[in-house]
This record gives sequence, C-alpha cells and structure tokens, in this order.
Amino acid sequence: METVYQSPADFLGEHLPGCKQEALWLDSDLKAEIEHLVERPWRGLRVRYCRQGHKTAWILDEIGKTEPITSGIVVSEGRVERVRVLIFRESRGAEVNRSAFTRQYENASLAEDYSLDRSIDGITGATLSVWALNRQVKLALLLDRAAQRSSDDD
Amino acid sequence: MTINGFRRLQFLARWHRRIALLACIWLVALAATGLLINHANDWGLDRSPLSASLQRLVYGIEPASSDFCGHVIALGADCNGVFGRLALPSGELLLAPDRLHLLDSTGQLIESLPVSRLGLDSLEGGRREGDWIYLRNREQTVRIDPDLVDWQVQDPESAAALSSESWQVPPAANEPITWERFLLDLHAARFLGPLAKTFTDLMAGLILLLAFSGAWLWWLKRRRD
Repeated sequence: METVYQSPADFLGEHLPGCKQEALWLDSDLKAEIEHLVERPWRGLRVRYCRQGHKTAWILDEIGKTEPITSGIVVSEGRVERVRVLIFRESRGAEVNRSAFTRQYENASLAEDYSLDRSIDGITGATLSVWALNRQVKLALLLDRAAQRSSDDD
Repeated sequence: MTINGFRRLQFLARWHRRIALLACIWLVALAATGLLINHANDWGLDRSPLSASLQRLVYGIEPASSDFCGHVIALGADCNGVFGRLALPSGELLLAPDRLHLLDSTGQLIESLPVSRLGLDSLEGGRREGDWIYLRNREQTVRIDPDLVDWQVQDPESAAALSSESWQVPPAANEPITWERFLLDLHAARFLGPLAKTFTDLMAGLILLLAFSGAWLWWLKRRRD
C-alpha cells in the first residue's frame, strides 16, 4: 500500500520554489562513499537534485524493510534544513512521517565518519524505517557536499 | 425377408458403419475435451497458461517481447515491465510503466528514475521527436530534454498537436490464454473459423442420422429374424 503524503514536485515547490534541476555525476570515489554509507551497491552514474543558490533538495528512495521510502531533503550550507517523508510504501513504520520525528534532523550535518553530528531518537516498531531515513539524510548531506564541490569547480 | 430387402439392409449397415467411424473421431474429441473442461477448475486448467509455442502455433499470437534489456548492465529485475526503448544522442532510454532507465551508449545504467518525479502517475507511451522526448499517460504529456534533467508538462493543445504515430506503448493487457480456453475452442471446433458452425451442424446431423439408421437397422434385423 502506497501512501503519498506529498508529491515530490509539491515538496520542491513548497521548499525550494523555482529551483533548477541538475544532475550530480558520480565518480568512482563518490560512488564508493555512497555505497559505504548506504551499505549496498549503488546503481547508476548520477543523482538528480534541485538547486537554488546554495540550497539543494534531494528526493531519495531508500528501502525500509522491503519497500522504498521516498523522502525529500533540503540541505543548506551543509546542514539539513527540512526532511519530509513523501511516499511511504511499507505496512509498518509510517510513524517516521511525523514532523516530531523528522524535526530531529533539522540543522544536522555529516561528520567525517559519515555519521550525523547528533543522535536521532528512534521509534518503537519503526526501527527499519528510522534507519532508512537516517541513511537518506546522511546520503543527502554527502551528495550536497559533492554537489557544492562540483559547483565550485565549475 | 426378400433379396432386395436383404441388400437394402446390407447397404444401410455399411453406410451406418462408415458414418459411425467418421463421427467417432469427432465424438471422442468432444468427449475428451468435454471431460477436461468439466474438471478444468479441479485440475487447474483454467489457471494454467498455454505455452508460448502452442500459443504461437494455434492462435498466431507472439509472446510480448521482453528483450529490451538484453544488453543492459545490472538492471536485473527492474527490466520487468519495460515496454519500449528510445534512442538518444548519447545512449538510450528504456520505458517502463512506473520508471525510466537512462543508459549510456555501452548499456551502463546512468539513472533509474520513477516517472512520478516527472509529474506522471504512470507511463503509457513515449516517443522521441527531434531533440525532445515526450512521455504521456491518459491525463497529460510531458516534454523532457534528452538528458532527462529539464521537463515540463505540455498544455493540452501542444499535446494534441503531436502526431499519434510512433509512440512506443505497452502491449495490450491481454488475459493469458489458458488451457481451458484452448479446450473450449477445440470443443466447439472454433479453429475452423467461419466453418465451425457448419461443421458442428454437419456432425450433429450425422449423429442424428446414425441414431435413426441404427434404429432402423435394429428394426429391419428384428423383422428379418
């Protein structure tokens, strides 16, 4: 069963209106970092995102237990500005959609060891969904860092 | 019984046997298929699909092609449902009802993108026209650049102006042909096309003839004895 809390387009329209669609190409080093972070092989050679100035927005899919959870994450200056679960497909763990939970990520940044600079309180019965969201947020921060670097090089 | 009566009896008996032999083939087929149809549900024949080769041979239906991903590296199970392929300047785009797969010229996956990211609930067709890719479903048409980065929903007039030809669309959603369906067609001799009705009438006529000639033979023989 799929629950759409907000469409990706609406999320971008609400949090980064008029943002420009771009694609981040993944070199082998970045791909290795991503795979280390998400703990699975990463398919594909690029990730798309939306940019507005120094802010980037990422729509990412990550498997909770068996189905992908689609989340929208806005990153600004290397810190999370907003996290929203957009589409939830699992039968359990939908509590990660609650703003009380997603607010914990606000202002979080990525440490050198690929961990968040703060601890995130879990939700009983939604452990796998929480882990999936943690991975998504860390991935968005990692990708934002690479996108900023790529943008600076240009 | 007179000689003429005896000859008439022999003649009738001979034709009765010949007709019976002819009808017997049909009756056996009718009984066998009828028996199988009667138990189709018990034996799973109403759920078991006909093999692709038999489907091709009997119905002339080619199974849907699923070879769009033969050359694609690491697409795996995501290839299920791919119904079309659009050539791009630097690779190709595979179309599936819920997802697009952008590949480079070597078949390496660049990006796998849910169509919902392009504002479509589902994908029901795709085509390339000049530098642009057009994707559509029943509600709307979206125009995308070949890099799949920029996209915009087409207004109804622009969408209508697009030619209705050259769209790559999913194969029609056919119900699979089951063994039960095959047996029903065999039972009713539908493979004979327009002649099926005439053939069935003919065979029914022969059975009636057999019944009457059999009764008559019995009556003649009884009278002779």
